Amino acid sequence: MNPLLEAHGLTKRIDGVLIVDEVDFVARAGQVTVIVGPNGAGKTTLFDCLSGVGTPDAGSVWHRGEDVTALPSDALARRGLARTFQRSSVFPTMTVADNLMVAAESHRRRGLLRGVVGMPEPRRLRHGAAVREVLADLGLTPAAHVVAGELSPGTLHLVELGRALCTGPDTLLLDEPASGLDDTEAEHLHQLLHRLAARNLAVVMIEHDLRLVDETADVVYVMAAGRAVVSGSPKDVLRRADVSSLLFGRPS
Amino acid sequence: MLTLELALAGLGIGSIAALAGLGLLVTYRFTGVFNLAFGAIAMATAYLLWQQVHVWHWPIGLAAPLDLLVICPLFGVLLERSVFRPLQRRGASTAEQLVASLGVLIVLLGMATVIWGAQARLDAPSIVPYRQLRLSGRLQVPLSTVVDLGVIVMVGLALVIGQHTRLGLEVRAVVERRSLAELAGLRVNRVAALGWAIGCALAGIAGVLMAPTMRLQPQGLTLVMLETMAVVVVARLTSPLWAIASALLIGVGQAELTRVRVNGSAEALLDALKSNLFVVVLLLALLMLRRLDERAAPDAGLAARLPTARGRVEARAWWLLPALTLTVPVLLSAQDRRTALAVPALAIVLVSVVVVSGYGGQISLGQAGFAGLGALVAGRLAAGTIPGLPRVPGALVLVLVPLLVLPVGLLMGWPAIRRRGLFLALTTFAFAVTISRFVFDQPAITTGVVVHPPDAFGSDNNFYVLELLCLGIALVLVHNLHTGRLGRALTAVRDDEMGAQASGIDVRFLKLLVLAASAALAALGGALLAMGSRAFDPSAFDPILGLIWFAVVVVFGVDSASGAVIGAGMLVALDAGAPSGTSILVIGVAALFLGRLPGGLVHTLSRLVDATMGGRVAAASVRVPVAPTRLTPTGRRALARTLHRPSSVRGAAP
Repeated sequence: MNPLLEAHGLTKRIDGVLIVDEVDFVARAGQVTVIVGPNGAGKTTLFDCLSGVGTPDAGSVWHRGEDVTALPSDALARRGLARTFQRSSVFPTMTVADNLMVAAESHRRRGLLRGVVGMPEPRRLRHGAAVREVLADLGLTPAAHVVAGELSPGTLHLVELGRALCTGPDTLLLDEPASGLDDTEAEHLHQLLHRLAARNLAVVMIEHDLRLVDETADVVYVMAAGRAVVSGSPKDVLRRADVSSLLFGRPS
Repeated sequence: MLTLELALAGLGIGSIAALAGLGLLVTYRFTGVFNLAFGAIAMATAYLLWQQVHVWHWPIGLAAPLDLLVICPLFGVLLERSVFRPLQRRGASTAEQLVASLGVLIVLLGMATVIWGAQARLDAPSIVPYRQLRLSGRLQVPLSTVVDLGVIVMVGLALVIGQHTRLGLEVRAVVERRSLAELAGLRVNRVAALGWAIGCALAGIAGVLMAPTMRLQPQGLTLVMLETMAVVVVARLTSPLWAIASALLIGVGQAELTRVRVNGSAEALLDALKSNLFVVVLLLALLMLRRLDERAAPDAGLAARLPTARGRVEARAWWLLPALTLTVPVLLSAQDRRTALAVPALAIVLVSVVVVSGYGGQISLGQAGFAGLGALVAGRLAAGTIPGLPRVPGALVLVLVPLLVLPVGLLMGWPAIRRRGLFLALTTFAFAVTISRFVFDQPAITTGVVVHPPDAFGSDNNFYVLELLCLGIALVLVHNLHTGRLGRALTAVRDDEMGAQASGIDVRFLKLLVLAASAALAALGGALLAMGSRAFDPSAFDPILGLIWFAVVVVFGVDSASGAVIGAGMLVALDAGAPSGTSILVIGVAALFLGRLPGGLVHTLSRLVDATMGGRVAAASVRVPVAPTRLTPTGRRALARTLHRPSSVRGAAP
């Protein structure tokens, strides 16, 4: 399976403190790759470096075989590398459908200024159908016309996932997508992510619930103190004594 | 010797600026509110003292301590109690608090103008008798400078010592994390009240000391005081010692500049620099600093946001009101109609604020600069006095003006891309003040500039039609900015920059677009304003007006173009029909009550109408499509919420 997203020797300091320390990382199409690790291990900062939100101090990021280290996150999103945030970044004054529509429309940069002089969007560029499909996939159809600011945190994560899907991604970076969901909802979500991976997407996520990780993940990376300490299949990795002492603070 | 004497003279102004800056800084550090009103508080205190000494014939030895030690601190406590504490209870954003302090500024400005008139007075009472102290040999120093320096040393010492008291510790706790300090049982409100009392007292002292050195005039004195915030910016909103040091340095530098002489075209520039070093430092510091130590760090993304209509769309019927506003002039007498020529022009300027602040989510306090540039360029284009450009005839001027000012908007947009909230607001204001002082106030550039309406539109009636045409085009363009793909992208950027960027939107490009478009619109409005009055008048584009225009737009609904038109009509009508200062007073009071009018006047009104005609809205909400297939539990819950809260639903089906 070909690697969609690769990182070599990623290093990031914030205010002089080493947060991400020479991390090598690969995400392949058709696989769910999960990053686990205790709080403060540098998982979200790694995501920031991968998605262009922050530039790494050293190392490189490769997407579909091209060096994208210096690209900003909007350029990466248009390339097909979409991400969600731990703290919701949904547009609170817009409806759920409009939230998704923004992402669907921004896939192409051209034609944005067409609207200034009142020209309508050409028919081939209308994205209503794509948005409706994603809404249905996520079970958000009934909430399509609710203003997003009024939704619960769990639902907001779904909206954000929907927004990421609407950019037409081949790689998804999801920062704790299941937080704020109850057990059944989280399970639904993971089944959905599995289906997405089956469509040949590379799904990368940060997740704390190890039961879900065990069920869903194809590859697990364990991060601690900025380093990717172990990686491999969940069966191998999660049962290692040193890993569980790292994650639970005691040997199992 | 001369150098030393000048330096001593400069220390006087420098220490007054240091006092004003310290006041601003103390309020900001104690409460998190950047109190723009400090300039007006200083001005009002100076006026109050003038009233007591010259009209009521109180002895100054009684009046000054009463004003500075009792009235000013009490006013500060009153502000904290009645305006800012309710806002902070509600968790209002930085932007809302900035608008409230702007409201206080505008109210004081309006009151001063209504009570004391807009004319300048030269007889501000001085609390220090005029005397020269002989230091050694021929070196003399005015007593006032010694007093100014003495006050600043005392205040500085008090602040340093205060940090080590129990109260100082509490203050630092509150400054670090207000909510935690409150949980720990600290008296957060007392700290805030103290911050306001000290801040207002220092502003009052600075105003009373400053007034005798210049003219007593409401807008002028307020603006001069506002310029001293340069020292707070240099201090990065943090260090009082830096603020004092930079204030003294700028004061001395300004005084030393009077010794420098050059010939030729640089002379005018140097002359401008001599009296405006604070402005230059303010702008440079804002441009060079990468970030300010803003207090609203934990939710900086949200902090910049102004209250908007949260996704509500104005009903078409609402356009009846602005349409009515614009037809009133037709019914007026010829004299009044001439006054009313300002309405569509001002409406275009206000719409430019809607574009940048309502749609773009950026606080811009500098629109007066762009409007003035538009007026100036229009006059000089028509006269053919812009180097390198031919004489431009008639209505073509109105096409070229926005295009020529647009690059200036881009120029200011460049630093603005990385700034937001308070930082951006101050940058835009500094920009407007700089343009005002270095362009509009330069006789070489502005004397003899006449701005005529295009020949075919010379009569008032024809010109009004031309203005309406321009307003119409502007409104259509602005409408397009707010709808369709572009409108959604802009709203996304306003709502959450990080989210917008993650969705593939080029945020920098859109911000530049909004700032440039808004500058071009403001220029068009400014050109029309000047054409209506047949002249370029620098005072019509005073930076203080930029603050007032921003407040008008926020009051009428920051993302409401129709509100901007109504606001323009009201402003012009009040200026023409009521005593001078009334319009400012009204806007200021409304800005103070903004907390009760979420989304602004127009949206509050339309919500009221919706509430009384509730049936229509409820009927619309039933049309939300219900898809029975594959509902996750989250989806089911969202659906239930949708059906139980009809007011939150927008009517249309997909």
